[in-house]
Amino acid sequence: MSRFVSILLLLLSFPLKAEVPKGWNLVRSDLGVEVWLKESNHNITASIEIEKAKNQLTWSSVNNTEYFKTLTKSKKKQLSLIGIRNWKSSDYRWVEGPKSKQLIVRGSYTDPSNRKIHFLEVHTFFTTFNKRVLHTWPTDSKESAEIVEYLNKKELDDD
Amino acid sequence: MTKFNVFILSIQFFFFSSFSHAQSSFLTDPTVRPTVDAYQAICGPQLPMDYQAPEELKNLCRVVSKSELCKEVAKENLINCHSFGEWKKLNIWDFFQGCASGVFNSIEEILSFTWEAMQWVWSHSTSKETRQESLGQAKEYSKMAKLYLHTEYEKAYQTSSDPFKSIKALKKIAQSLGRMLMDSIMDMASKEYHQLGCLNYKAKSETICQLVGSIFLPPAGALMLLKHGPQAVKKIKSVSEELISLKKLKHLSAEEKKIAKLLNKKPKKLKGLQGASGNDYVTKDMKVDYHGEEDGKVFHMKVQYFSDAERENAKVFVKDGKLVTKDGVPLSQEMIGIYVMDEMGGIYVLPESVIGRIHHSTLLAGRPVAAAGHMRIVDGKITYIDNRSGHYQPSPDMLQQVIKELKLRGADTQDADFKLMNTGD
Repeated sequence: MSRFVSILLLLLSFPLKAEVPKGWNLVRSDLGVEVWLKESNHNITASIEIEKAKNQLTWSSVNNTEYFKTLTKSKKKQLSLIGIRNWKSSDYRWVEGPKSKQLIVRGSYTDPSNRKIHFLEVHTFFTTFNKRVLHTWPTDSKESAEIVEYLNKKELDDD
Repeated sequence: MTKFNVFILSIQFFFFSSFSHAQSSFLTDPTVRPTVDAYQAICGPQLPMDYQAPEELKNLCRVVSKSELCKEVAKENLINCHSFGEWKKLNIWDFFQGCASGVFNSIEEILSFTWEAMQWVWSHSTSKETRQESLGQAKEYSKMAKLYLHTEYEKAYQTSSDPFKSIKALKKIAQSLGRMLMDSIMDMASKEYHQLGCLNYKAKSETICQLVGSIFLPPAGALMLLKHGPQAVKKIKSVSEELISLKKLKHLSAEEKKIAKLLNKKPKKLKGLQGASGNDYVTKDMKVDYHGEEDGKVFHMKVQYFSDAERENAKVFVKDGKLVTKDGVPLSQEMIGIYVMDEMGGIYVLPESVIGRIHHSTLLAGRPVAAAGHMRIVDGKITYIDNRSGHYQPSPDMLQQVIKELKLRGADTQDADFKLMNTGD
């Protein structure tokens, strides 16, 4: 009997759904994107954006070299319109799955408030839809693995 | 310094030096609310009058006001150079927080607008060849930029204070966009409003707020200004004026009544994609003045004439009362475009014309049309139609032809406005 109670207690201690990591808030969920911000003492320390959309470009039609070339080429001008300067990638890699392909880019930029911001861009291509994730954090903060993990788990829950 | 330069300088000074209440009649039109409510609330109050102009500017004012340029300005509207103190110097963001902020009703509108501007910048920063070579990849990549826009906007929004929180956030992230817009407006003001420097405070305030209203109603006009610069001004203004005059039209002529009756007819409920009815409509040739335009003999560049394949892409169908593409997708959320109809009732639409490059003649490659003009489409539904085409100058009967065709195919035009140009022979 006591064994049954301990198993029950153990089961109850597991959350049924993923819990939002501490400090992270979903501030906007419209126009096809979700925006999550992390605040500490009224300062935004990190952000993550997620977008899932149907597209013509499937994982098998992506040309790795060409895609990354285009990505870096026009980025500067386009982002300068919203006050982002010095966008540069420091590292990138392609991860290929059986029916998907992922480009992971890391780098930094200067935001409109003149702060140096680090970024992680993840472009994932599937057969019927593509997913884009942008995670940013200022120099005095750090990359948050827990939000990425939470969002992945949440997506499974949602599905 | 030439007289022209003096005036450009004076215009720049005066342009930035005043803003105030605008009670332009068209802004009270119910079709442009609630934008106008916000616009009037913001443009209404007078600005603090604490600006003291230096003596040299007063001298410049005297030169300008006594010049040939200002001779035609009514005396009651003429600038008084002794009362320069009533103007306050404004910067770009006062402009956005002032009159222009009434234009945007929501964060969604601001973000959509900025995103469109970003896409435009992208498409103009790469060559046509590059765009065609890697269109799919580039589109995909370009969408990632949208996430940067949302991230930076949201960060700015969270740290901004009320009132005008959204405008303050926009101010933080879109300074370059603001500069581009202001440059375009300045360019336009120097060409279209060259007498601005002659006007007194009240007249100038009204003129500027009218100018801002013309550009930003609807906000798409601002984007068009970015894209086409001063060339877009006349088009924006004429669209604004048409929208206003339509609502003001109280006494319809016999022909206008016929068209209004046709538009108001209840649409037939037809299933599936409705293509051309196949009716044999009366057509009209393009004016001879435009012959040879495809070879660059009329404008300084060659007017594009569509191939059959290109024309097919511009063809519209009717489904469930709405205008849709061949894939059954309703035409964009909101657009003012040009249209033509061929003798069999095939209707072709393009989002906009580009002087010297894209005209009504583009769609049917200069061949005769059964109708031509402008259309405003909101989420596939026609909200405005006319028969305005310099190339074809279609008769009022031809406007009736296209409305009949749309009705035959079950298009819902019950809420559509129209304007009839008596340009027929």
